Amino acid sequence: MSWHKLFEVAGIVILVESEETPCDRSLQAIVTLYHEISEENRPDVVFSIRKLKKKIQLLLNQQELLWEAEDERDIPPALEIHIYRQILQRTFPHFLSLHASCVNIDGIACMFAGQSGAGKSSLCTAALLTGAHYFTDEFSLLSKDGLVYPFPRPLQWDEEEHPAFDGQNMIQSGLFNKEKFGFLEANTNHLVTSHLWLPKHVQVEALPLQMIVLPRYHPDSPEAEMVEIRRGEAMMALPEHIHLHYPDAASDIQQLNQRISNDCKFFRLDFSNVFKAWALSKDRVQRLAQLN
Amino acid sequence: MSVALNISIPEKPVRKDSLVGEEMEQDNEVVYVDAENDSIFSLNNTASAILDLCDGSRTSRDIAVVVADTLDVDVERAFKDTESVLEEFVVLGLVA
Repeated sequence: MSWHKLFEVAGIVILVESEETPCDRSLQAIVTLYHEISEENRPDVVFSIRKLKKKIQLLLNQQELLWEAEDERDIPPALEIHIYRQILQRTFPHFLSLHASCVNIDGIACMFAGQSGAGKSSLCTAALLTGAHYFTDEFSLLSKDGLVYPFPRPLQWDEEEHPAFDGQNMIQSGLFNKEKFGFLEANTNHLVTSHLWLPKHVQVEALPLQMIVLPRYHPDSPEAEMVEIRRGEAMMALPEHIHLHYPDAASDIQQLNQRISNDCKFFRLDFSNVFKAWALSKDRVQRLAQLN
Repeated sequence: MSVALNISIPEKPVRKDSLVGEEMEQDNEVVYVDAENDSIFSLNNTASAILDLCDGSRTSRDIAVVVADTLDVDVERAFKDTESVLEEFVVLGLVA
């Protein structure tokens, strides 16, 4: 094998190993943020990337063929999806995964839960630009004892530029590295480029979840308005953001209610300006930090 | 022209049995899921207590007596409020 990485997410130990392939740099970028652990740990999951004649294969636990492609560019997105799938399946139900970004600012774990387009990744990026530590932009893993665990996949943009963030400024901030990989879209064979932003301050330890924000981005919204909401209101909204559900919605709510500490604060955040929205959030976080 | 809706409260209302409640202790609130259609709603603790008392053995006046006793309020006032809450429950299909 030309390279490998052994890492863990929420206690699941994963080994990614690859023979020398043209997509090695992209593969390494996908796993670069995950917490590397010592070689003495035995992996729960092994992903192997191998060359076989003209094809490249992605194998699970050296047996199960997950993906085979003649174009090596297909392998990185396939690896990415299977890493997510394995972690979510293996951690549930000990961990409940929420479709939410999460950062650590001043020792407070602050989560932004919302559907695609609600602004959770943008708020996360704005937070990282002010020195926050990165948990995740997509998979917030909530344990039974109320801790949120890091699942630091790379932040991804579909385009070279982002309407809210200047890529050059992000590089110059010294807080991010940047990578990209291209792959062929399954149905159209159209080349798609995924732009990866790799925060340098990555959270390693789990933290108690103390603040949950339900953002709603809309270009016609005020720049930023934040209001504290009842726990019950948040509990009614959060189940739709769970990745793997309990058999019934009542159990989802019960689990959320049991796992999220009574000290946690809940907010709704309507915004059109992500920097002002993050400034309001940060102000609330700092007030919480003072109480701790 | 306004039309007055005549809502009829069952003599001894029975709570829909597909409702599962989760208490939010700090907020005096109960979040319910209707397992029949996964709809989610919340009630304050008093409304939730009234819903729980709809077990088919009590009239609305019986329920009001319990509410009046618990909240230490006048029975007639509690009766009016209980009927009003029960009317909403009927409209929402939470009791039959």
